[in-house]
Amino acid sequence: RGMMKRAKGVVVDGDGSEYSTGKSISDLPEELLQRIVYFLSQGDAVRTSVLSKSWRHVWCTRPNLDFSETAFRGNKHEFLSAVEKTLQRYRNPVDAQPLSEFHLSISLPLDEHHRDDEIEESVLVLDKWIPIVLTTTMGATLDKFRLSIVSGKYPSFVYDLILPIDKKIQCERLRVLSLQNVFIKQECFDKMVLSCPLLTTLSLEGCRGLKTIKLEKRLYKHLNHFTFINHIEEYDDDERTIVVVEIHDDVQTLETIKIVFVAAIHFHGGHKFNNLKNTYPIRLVRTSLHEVEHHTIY
Amino acid sequence: MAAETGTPTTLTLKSNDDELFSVAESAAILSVTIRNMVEDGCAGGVIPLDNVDGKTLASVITYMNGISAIPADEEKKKSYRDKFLSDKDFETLADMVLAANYLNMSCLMDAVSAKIAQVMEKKSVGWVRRKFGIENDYTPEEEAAVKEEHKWTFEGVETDDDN
Repeated sequence: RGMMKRAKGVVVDGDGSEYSTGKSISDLPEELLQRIVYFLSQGDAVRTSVLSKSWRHVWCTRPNLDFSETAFRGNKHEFLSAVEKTLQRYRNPVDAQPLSEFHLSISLPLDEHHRDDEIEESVLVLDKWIPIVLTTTMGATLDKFRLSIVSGKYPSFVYDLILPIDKKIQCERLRVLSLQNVFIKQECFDKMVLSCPLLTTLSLEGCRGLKTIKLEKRLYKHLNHFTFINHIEEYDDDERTIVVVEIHDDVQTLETIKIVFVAAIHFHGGHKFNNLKNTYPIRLVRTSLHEVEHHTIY
Repeated sequence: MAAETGTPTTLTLKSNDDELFSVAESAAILSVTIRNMVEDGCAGGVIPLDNVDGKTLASVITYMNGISAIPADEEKKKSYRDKFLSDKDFETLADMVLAANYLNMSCLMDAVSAKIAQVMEKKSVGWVRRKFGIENDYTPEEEAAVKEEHKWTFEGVETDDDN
């Protein structure tokens, strides 16, 4: 390769140009290397294992997992198997750091190119791992949980999230919960909210199965940001799609509310949300608009 | 404390190469290590920082002063940090992250770590090794095996001869 090593950390290329002067990143303590790897994308993080032997397992103990299929260049099978392998590693931690962030974004477009076996394989992986992450000790240290089904086509694919009834949801420290194109039963959602008393951010986009979302202090003591989006094409006269969002003004921690295409919205109490900083326009399909227009959030 | 005397309290910090620096206590206590010393009442004289050299300490103090002058506005603080780190080479960044770790300044530690990560983004293995002085101690067979195991991570990455 035409490379030689002159002194520790000084690498001289064939043409004599020096790239580094004396310091090697590998001299940094393990915890700092981990911190650096924390800020990388999943692919970049895993790739650091090729750098040298001391880097081989640094990525394995980072506290965040970020799987985004759109950022993944391989095919779906390779993506799913990378997800599986990694999660397996985190599930059996020898010296793994507790998991604090979990982000899985999987694309399942229902178009002419879709293949049933690909969807089936994806659903199998989700069915296996999502309950494990949420109901075992893997979830006990979770700070952020994001699950997105990316589906550019109409009707979008909605993943049916089923959590075992007999198992406790473990993620008591969860602060950020974000679901996109997920079918979640009301009971399951309520159980989730009850189990996560520290939520600061709740985001539900294109989610089905819900009838009522009651934002009240009893359940949401720390909620700062609330997003609820139903895509326009999903709105029809079908009663099943109607979701009532109730916002009680005892949730004084609220800073932002974003609600798009909700069937009904109710504000309870004196309509005083002192901390609201900015809100997005609330567009309503089926409610008396004047009720909202006069609200202080405008 | 500042509130009692009416004038800002100044601390004296000493680097491991015996340089002395004056810094406002309000800025210096961004370091949890220093804050603990102040709270324990042992910050009266000179505070020796055995793990930080003068050049790095000067830089850290510039950061302490800069960031503590910004009111509570996370976006402004972030843009200050970005600007502060923008022209730093790896050697300086490595010194700073070690100092931030020693001084227990999580905001600086995270900012520097993120900056180093940003430099590594999408770069070839060979480039990262050269840039950060990493000696490849894999045998060619071992390296090929690790690469094969994580084949997908090489898609869309810059390539070079070494890769």
